[in-house]
Amino acid sequence: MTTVAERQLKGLRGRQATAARRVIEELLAQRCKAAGYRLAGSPLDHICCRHLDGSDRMLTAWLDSDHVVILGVGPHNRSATDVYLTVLDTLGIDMPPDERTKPPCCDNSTSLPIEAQAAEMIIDAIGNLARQRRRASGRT
Amino acid sequence: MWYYQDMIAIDFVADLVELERLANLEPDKTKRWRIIGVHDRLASRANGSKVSEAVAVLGLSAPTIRAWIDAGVLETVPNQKPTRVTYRSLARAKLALDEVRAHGENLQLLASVLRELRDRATLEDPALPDALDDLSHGQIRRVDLDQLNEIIPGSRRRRPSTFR
Repeated sequence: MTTVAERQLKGLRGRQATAARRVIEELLAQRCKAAGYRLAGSPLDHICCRHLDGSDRMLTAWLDSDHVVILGVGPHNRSATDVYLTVLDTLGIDMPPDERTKPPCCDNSTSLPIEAQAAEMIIDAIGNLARQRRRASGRT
Repeated sequence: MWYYQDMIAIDFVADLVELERLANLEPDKTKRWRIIGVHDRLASRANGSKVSEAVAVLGLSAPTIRAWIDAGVLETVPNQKPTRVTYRSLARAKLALDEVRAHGENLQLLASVLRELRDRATLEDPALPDALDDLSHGQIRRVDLDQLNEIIPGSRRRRPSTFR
């Protein structure tokens, strides 16, 4: 694990600590099958995210199929997804179940997003709206 | 039915949206910042729109506009009674709504957007750049099961109780 991850893990207590320990034990036993889902747009080829307790997430980098580095553990920021779901809800659009949008960590495919340009424009527009909301909530 | 003031608000927001679209498409960084500057100056000159005008601009109901204000999706002009919504936030909301409305039938695309947004939020973890730095400099500790009590002291397992 990285020095950052070690420092974060030492700061965990109670349920958060128990959850992190359980996931590390599972990673050692089951490897990428226990690493949750693979992140899109990550700076490295293969970063995965596993949910822990509450909003906590563990990020792992996979150097090869049996060599994993725990990058960090921390709370998840949902601002942009919350805004997006608010917009979809307002327009009465029902999304497919969430799990279908999460490729497993062991998935090595490099499929590009469908209609990448359209996706990028929606992501930019929602990202701007979410940043505005963060600034507004920071002022209150 | 739209009134004259509604039309002014609709046209004004349409101009701001157009400027934001042009800025997004402009490859030259200096030119992009100049367009954003014009956009921001225009937006800050106006004193915001009434809720009824925001209804006409976004094509949503008044209760939805108020819910979006409460959720922080729309910004209000400070110290204004009755409530006025900033044109900057209306333009951003209009742009986002238009993009999603244009692809509302394509659930596969919307699902991939949801995934990308969720993953970007996860990757915005402020500790991640330092962790990647650790990784590139080889500052990594090898861990086995016996060391977990030391690394995560809060998770130390209790010994099973024994009967006398």
